[in-house]
Amino acid sequence: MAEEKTFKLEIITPNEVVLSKDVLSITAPGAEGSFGILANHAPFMTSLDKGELKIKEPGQVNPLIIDINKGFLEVLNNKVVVLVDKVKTEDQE
Amino acid sequence: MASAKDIKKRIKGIKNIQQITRAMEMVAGAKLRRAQVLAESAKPYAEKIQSLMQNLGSSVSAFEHPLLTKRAENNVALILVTSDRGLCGAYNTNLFKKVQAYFRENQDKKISLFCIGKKGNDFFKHRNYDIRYYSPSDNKIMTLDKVNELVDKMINEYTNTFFDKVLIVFSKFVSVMNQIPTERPLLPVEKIEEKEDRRVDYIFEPGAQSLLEKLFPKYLENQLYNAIVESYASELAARLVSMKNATKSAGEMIDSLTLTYNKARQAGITKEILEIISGAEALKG
Repeated sequence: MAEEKTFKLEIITPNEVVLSKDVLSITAPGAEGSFGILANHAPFMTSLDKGELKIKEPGQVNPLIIDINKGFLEVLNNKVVVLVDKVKTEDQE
Repeated sequence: MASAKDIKKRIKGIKNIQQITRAMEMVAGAKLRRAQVLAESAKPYAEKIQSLMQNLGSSVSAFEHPLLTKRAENNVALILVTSDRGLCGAYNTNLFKKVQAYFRENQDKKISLFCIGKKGNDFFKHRNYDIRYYSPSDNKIMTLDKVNELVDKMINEYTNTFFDKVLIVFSKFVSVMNQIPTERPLLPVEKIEEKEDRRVDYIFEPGAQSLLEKLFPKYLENQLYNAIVESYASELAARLVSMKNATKSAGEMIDSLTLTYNKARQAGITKEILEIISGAEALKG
């Protein structure tokens, strides 16, 4: 199997860096519809709506799902930064 | 000279005070560490949002926005961040002085106060200043929701030209020994310097302009939030230092009072011996 391409994902809230790891792909609730991002995406900036952020990690079958509030997403140099007010991960409940 | 008993009472009282100040010092120290961690963990977000503003700003040339335009400063809103509780040395007083100096220097302008923290509200209410907003800081950091609410209000009033300028006065945390009362402009948004080398051709969704409009409130909220977090750390540092000094002063006072007490005790004993001796002499004679 070919080596899966990953990129760095950071989820940052005003209080903490929630997550910082290498992932395969994410699906995010954009302001103009849901979209997916794979490795080597072009520089991109958008605002996010409230919804679910699906994250696929290497070696994991089920995606990690994080509930996010409104925020922003930036893709630059194969690094994705998600800036949101609040997050709620599944395992925190 | 006070009697030995009175002095002993005073020593006991001061010892009690010392116990309290020492406890407060330790509590402030523990809280300060936590506040510093909090301030530290707020940094990544602040830096990122700053760089987003930069990248966006350089992509949108000749951008015009009501929040960017400078107007004649007739009406100024001043957001003052103070503590809810006292016993933190000159922390609040220094902030009051800063605000009063600003009032003195800008007598031609109409200034409205927005107070975060009980102490600031009490001080200026007593002196009949125009306080438009008050929220206690609940002895911890104001919640983000409250900050957002206030910022939305400021943006709204600024856009409707109720205010021409919005300032934050807060205490900048330099070190545990040093906090500087600082004023920082919130609105109009200062144009962020363009950096040519950082220019990247982004894909914007929706357009860059509407994205920037969404980013502004977040950016301002973050500015205010950071000021509050930093003030909180300053407050605790100020309390730590002043309580440390208080404990030390109490110790010195106890030392000098103990000396006086011993002297009084010795004088009492000497007097008693003299009386006994002279009594015995009289009997002999």
